[in-house]
Amino acid sequence: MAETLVLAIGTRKGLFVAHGSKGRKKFALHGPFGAGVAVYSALIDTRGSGRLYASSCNAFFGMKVLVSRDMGKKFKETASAPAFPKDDGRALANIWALEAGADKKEILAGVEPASLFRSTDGGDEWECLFDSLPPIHCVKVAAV
Amino acid sequence: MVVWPVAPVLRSAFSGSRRLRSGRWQRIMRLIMAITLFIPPPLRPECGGAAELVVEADTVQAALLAIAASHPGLYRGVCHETGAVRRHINLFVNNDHIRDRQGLDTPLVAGDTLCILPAVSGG
Repeated sequence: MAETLVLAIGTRKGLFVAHGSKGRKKFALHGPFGAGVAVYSALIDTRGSGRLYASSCNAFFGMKVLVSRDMGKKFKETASAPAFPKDDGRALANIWALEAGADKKEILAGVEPASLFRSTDGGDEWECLFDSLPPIHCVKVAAV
Repeated sequence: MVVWPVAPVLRSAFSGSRRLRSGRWQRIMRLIMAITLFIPPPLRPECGGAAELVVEADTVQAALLAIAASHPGLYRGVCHETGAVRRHINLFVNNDHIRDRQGLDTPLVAGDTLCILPAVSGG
């Protein structure tokens, strides 16, 4: 049994992270992170040193991707969030899904308007992979 | 009240002047041309907690581009990636909403205030 269990809980008022002790009898709750802003997707990335990502979707001030390098004790904003090219004419309305990619530090984001973005550096830079999908509900990756 | 656009007149009068290009005069000109940008509390973390920023700009668009360079997170909170102002954000030049003037091309003169005012909603 792993030493610590991490739960990431996305809510309408931010992200909460619970750390469970070895016996799973007690959990310490941290947060909210991105307080007051809806979190629709979180990603616990256990590759490498481990990171925790969350999409912070503010209808007023825009979308952010939050990242924690200590599994949920502190969060900061990634250098950028998915964004359409200026001449595309569309604006990001939501980040519905985050998923770890096949390569180390690769992150995928399913967004509204329906498009799939990819980051290969842990969320600091994003590129659009597919921009004409139906609305995205989930993103899953496997190397087969 | 007529607000005389001091900065363009001075800039024109001293155009090409070596004195104007000196650091001291540049600082004076920046003060003369300055407008004040009021930041709402939710966006203050994007500019180090500041409630106001002083910006040198002659249009609303120029003021937004200035903050895009100096505080990109603040700019992203006001405008989305197309460059348009976000739906729930209102920009007021002094007492006028920019949609009642010339939108992003609304001219600014020294001493103007540009207020970022998010809409309030809920139930």
